[in-house]
Amino acid sequence: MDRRPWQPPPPPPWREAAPPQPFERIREKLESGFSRFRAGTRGLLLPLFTWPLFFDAIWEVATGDTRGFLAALLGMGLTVGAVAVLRSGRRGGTRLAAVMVGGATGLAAAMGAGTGPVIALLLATGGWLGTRLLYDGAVQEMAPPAPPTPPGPIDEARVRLARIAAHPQLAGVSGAMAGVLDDLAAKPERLGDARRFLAVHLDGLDRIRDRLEAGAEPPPGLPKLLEDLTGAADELREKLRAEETAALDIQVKVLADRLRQEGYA
Amino acid sequence: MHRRPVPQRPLLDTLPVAARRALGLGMLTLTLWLASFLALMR
Repeated sequence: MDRRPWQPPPPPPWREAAPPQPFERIREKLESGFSRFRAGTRGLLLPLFTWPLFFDAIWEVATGDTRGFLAALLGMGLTVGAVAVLRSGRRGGTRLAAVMVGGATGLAAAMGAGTGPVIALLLATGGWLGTRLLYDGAVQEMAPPAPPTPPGPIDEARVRLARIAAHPQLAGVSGAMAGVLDDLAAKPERLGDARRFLAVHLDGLDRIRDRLEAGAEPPPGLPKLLEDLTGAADELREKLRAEETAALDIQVKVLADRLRQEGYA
Repeated sequence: MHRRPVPQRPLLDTLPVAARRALGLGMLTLTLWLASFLALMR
């Protein structure tokens, strides 16, 4: 595209682009600051529309009119609530806030001012429409964050195992158990076979750890027991792997037969 | 003959943002404020 006479020449390709002028930078800063302020205070002035209701409430209290006082309170409360809903930024917040402002308008008109229901309905519709016009798209709405997935049995076992592994004497067997858990995490459908094993081992190790923490002297049979537990954990891993191997073996056989039947091999 | 579908937008969405905000401000003054004011004047 041609350069117009009033446009600055492009920077030569071997040099960095010219740094922005100080005036430009100040203007950018001011503008972004104003935008942030504008977004941060969005909707806070909406209750100012209901200032007559404040004096009306005082007047209704002085004259003892419960109905009018209730109307004034509801009108102000609903408007303030609408601002809270609007600023919470939840999905659909703007729509709900508009409905609340419409309700506040209708209540103030019907109960407070004593207009007929038709006029009150008209005013309520206008309040709803005005709020939609004023705030649609003005507030970033976000869906509430998804709840975290509940911890599965493997996660619980990991937490318990981490507690057990904190004890130096139980570190070896904890390592073997962690291997089992890793295998199970990769193959969750095997969890049914190992559930009993995990429960027995973790319960036993938990108790041993509690006693050791309480200052118990380790009995001479403890290292042997820990060795057995480690061996059992390794054995379980072996067994799980052997089952996988057997399953793969069957798959290979079936596929080979199939190929032969179809005449490809 | 093939016709491109025209995206349906609400009429008010076609207004520029500044006009929408001004209209909303006026509408709220005409309704929320007026209802409050009438309640005070009654």
